[in-house]
Amino acid sequence: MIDALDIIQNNRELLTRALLVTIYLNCLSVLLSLVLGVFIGMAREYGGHITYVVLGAFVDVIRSIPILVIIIWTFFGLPLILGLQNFPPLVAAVIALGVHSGVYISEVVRGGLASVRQGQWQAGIALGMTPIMVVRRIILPQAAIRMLPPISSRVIRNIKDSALAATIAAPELFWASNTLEGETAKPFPIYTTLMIFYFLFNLGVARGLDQIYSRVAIRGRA
Amino acid sequence: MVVFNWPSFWEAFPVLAPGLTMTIGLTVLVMPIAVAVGLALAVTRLYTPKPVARVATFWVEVWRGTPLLLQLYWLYYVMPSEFGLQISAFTTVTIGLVCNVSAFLSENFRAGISSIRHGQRNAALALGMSETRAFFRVVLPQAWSRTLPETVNIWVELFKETSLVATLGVADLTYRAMALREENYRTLEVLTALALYYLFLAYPQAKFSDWIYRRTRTKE
Repeated sequence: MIDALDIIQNNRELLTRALLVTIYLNCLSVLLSLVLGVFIGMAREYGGHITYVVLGAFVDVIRSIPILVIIIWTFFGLPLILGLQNFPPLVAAVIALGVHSGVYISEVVRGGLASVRQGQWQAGIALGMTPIMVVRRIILPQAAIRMLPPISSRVIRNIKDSALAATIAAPELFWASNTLEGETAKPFPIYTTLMIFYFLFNLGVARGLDQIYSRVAIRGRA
Repeated sequence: MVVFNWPSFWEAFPVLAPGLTMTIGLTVLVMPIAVAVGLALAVTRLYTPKPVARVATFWVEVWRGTPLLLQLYWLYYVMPSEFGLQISAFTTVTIGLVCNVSAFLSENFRAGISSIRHGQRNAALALGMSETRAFFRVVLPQAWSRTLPETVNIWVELFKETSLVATLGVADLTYRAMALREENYRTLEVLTALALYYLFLAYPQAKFSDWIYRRTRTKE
């Protein structure tokens, strides 16, 4: 493990940059996935039959394709369709991870919205609220709390999947580690340290989200 | 908008086809082993003394908490360099997938086994069954049907995750697509064909998984 410390010491800049890339890659893709997930989930729940079927097909397609293939397709294929040049791998990774996680989150959102009892609707309408107000002020706040645990496991999954961005040379942590492995030919210290890092990082995120949930859980009870 | 070259698109399908054997074969090979290992891990965590159970828990958490790709790389590069084990890429990814999937399965089994009331075991013991017999004949069958939906779901995940083996040069669907892309530069056509392969194969499995979920939900 002395090796590991040496390697970290000698490549502080590269690793710090890679760590920051991993962090903002995850922040941006999780943000995108939440926006997409809430949008798709709500559109499918309240948008009528056609919206339900069309978005459902999209969800099923994305759910059936491995994240690696989605990342590769987004990086190599999407710029061809859009006619873009110099498509940065990081942008491709954010889009691919965001859409992939977003589709799963949309299912969580749908389940969460459906879990709020009918009486809540009726009570809101009886008080003279518009349907949009009922959703925004009554249904969504309660549903959001119940969605938290499955969303937090998706976030963890997203962090793990973000290592796949290395396959399209997005300069995140796993990519940096592969580069260092190529330079030093010391796989053991490098990959073991990275394992420990991901383990502790995920543990920290999971604990943090659990803390938030346990604070708000009481308000989400049916 | 670029021109989508349909002939290249159709030609990609037969070229990728040999990769199917690897993709499906790996899934079929890994899953039964992972179920056995996962069950063993769950039993270890539930029924052995604390220190042993703690080790099993730690093992499971490590495999669950780190990226699969990193696990495969770790095995592929560290096993030969540190332990002098010269094993093929195929064996490496099989081991890696078994360790990863069994960790997820063990959590599923553990939850299933703990959900069976103690009375079931007590009743079996009162009927004169041994502990082992009570576990295999009474507790496990009930736990099995409760954990089936998640097990099927993990199977579908495994099917998709086998695509990662391409990064270590194991010739599955994804690997063949990447190779073909480098040959003919028909990126969009080849990668779309690849995505469609997975879609057609995984979609029925995902629907089957959803169906099992629905079926068990109405029953319990």
